[in-house]
Amino acid sequence: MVKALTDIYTTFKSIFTGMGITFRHLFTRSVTVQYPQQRDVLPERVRLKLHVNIDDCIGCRLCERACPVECIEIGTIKSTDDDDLGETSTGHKKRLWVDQFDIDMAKCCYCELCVHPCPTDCITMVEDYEYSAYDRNDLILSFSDMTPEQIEEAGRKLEEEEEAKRRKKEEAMLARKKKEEAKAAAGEAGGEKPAGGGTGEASKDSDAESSRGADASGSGDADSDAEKAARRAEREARRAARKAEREAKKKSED
Amino acid sequence: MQQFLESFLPAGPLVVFVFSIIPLMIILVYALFAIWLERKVAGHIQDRLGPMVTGGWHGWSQTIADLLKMIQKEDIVPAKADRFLFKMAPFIAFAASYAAFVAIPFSSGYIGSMIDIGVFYIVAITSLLSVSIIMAGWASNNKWSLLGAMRTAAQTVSYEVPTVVTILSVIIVTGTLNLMEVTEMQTGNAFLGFLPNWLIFHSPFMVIAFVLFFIASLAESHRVPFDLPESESELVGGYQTEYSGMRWGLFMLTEYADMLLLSLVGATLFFGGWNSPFGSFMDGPVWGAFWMLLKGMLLVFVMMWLRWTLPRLRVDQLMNLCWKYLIPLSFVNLVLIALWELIF
Repeated sequence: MVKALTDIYTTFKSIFTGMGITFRHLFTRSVTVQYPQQRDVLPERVRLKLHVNIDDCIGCRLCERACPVECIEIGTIKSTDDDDLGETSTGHKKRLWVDQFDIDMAKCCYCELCVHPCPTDCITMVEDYEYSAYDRNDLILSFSDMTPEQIEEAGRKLEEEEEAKRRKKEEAMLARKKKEEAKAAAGEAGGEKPAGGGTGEASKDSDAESSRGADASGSGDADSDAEKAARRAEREARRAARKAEREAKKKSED
Repeated sequence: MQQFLESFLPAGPLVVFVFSIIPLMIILVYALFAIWLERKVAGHIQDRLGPMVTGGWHGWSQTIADLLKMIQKEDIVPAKADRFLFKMAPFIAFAASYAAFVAIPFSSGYIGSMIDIGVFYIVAITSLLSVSIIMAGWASNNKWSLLGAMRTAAQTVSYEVPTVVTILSVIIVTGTLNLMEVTEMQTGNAFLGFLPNWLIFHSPFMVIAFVLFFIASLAESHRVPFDLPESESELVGGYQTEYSGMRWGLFMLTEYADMLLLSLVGATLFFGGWNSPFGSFMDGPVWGAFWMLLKGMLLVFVMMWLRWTLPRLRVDQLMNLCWKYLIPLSFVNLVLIALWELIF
């Protein structure tokens, strides 16, 4: 009986306490954010969506390698010698065409690991969270600004350049071979009949030419030899210039 | 009221028709409002806003939009259900709850029927509700539905006892079962000089009687903390599980109509019905309807408030509360009120 009465008392006490609390909350300000009209202020370092400033991208693929879920896909084409891609805003020289920079936001796990390795700070997280799509493929963001024609052009130019280089190399090899053959032939000739003939003279000529330097050009083994010698000289000059530059720099630093 | 209608409507049957659908209009408008209010109360108690968009001002037309959606929904009858009973159950449920409004005096000028056994009729006809719920649960051929229906049967049978006994204790004071007469008895300027002449101020035991009646009426209308028949979280809706579209909507409407009905009965028995709380100030048939509905809505609001405060009882706790507390208390209270009446 006493227990029943105390039970009744505690029941009503707790019910009225509860009702008091709910009544207070009935008039407290609600915490709802009326989303499309109102928006919360986002924290400073939110990770919501990746953005790439493609003008600054040097195509180093560090972000692609850092990504744990492999959602970044980068394609690059080497630029040719006559193309100048300019520099990034951070002063890096751009040497590669970035013909593909796709980020699959459906795969992205928002870890931000790709952002930190970037040497030019061109990949960043931006404050955009309203990019849901009906098709999964719409979540693949393509940042490359190259048109298919440009990509084709870049690829063709690279191919041409490589072709040209290869041809040059081949020609050089061929020339060296010929020269060696000629030398061998000359040696043979010298051995058989000393105080040489036409070939001996020719070889002498070419030696003279190579020691003199550059300009003679035409056809035949003498010419190819001359070319080679010219290139060697050029290279040496460049090396010397670089060495001088380095030394100058060192001096100025000291 | 009937004479008033006859003055501008031609034929007899039409007058009767208009006369009898007035409570229906009230219930429908009230249900639209109450469902919106419930969501608002729920929202604000939980520091949310509730519906805010539909219709402009605080989502006032959300319920209308929901209703339109519900009407368009497919009417699904489970393959192994008892089709006839399944389809009938919601109508019987609403009919039971609507029929009870006949004996409610909405104002001094309007009562559906001046039957002398008003309260008794209401108690009797609302029992039909549990029949319809058992019908729905059984006809659905679904274990959850049946469990919910069985719980309802147990709950309603149990809680009818304290309801009836508390009503009986009020009847001891009034001496009549006719709710119109009960209300007229409470007309009067003031009791103890400043309080209205309402039955709740008649004696301290009437307050206890009202609390008991209110708890029992919560259980009767299957509201939280006594919403075991539905218990969305454990019985996936109980007897409503298999219902969809407008049939489900009728159950919803019945629940809200039941809330209003029991609140109005409570207002009539304890709070003076259509009487103005300020004596003869703001009195009259139209003001009467206003006061009646206002008192009813206040009690409905308390029901909502409780819903978002209290957790649901277990089945054994429900039975415990009824048989070990409410019924003994209501009987003791009955005796005390009878003694009070003898002495004073």
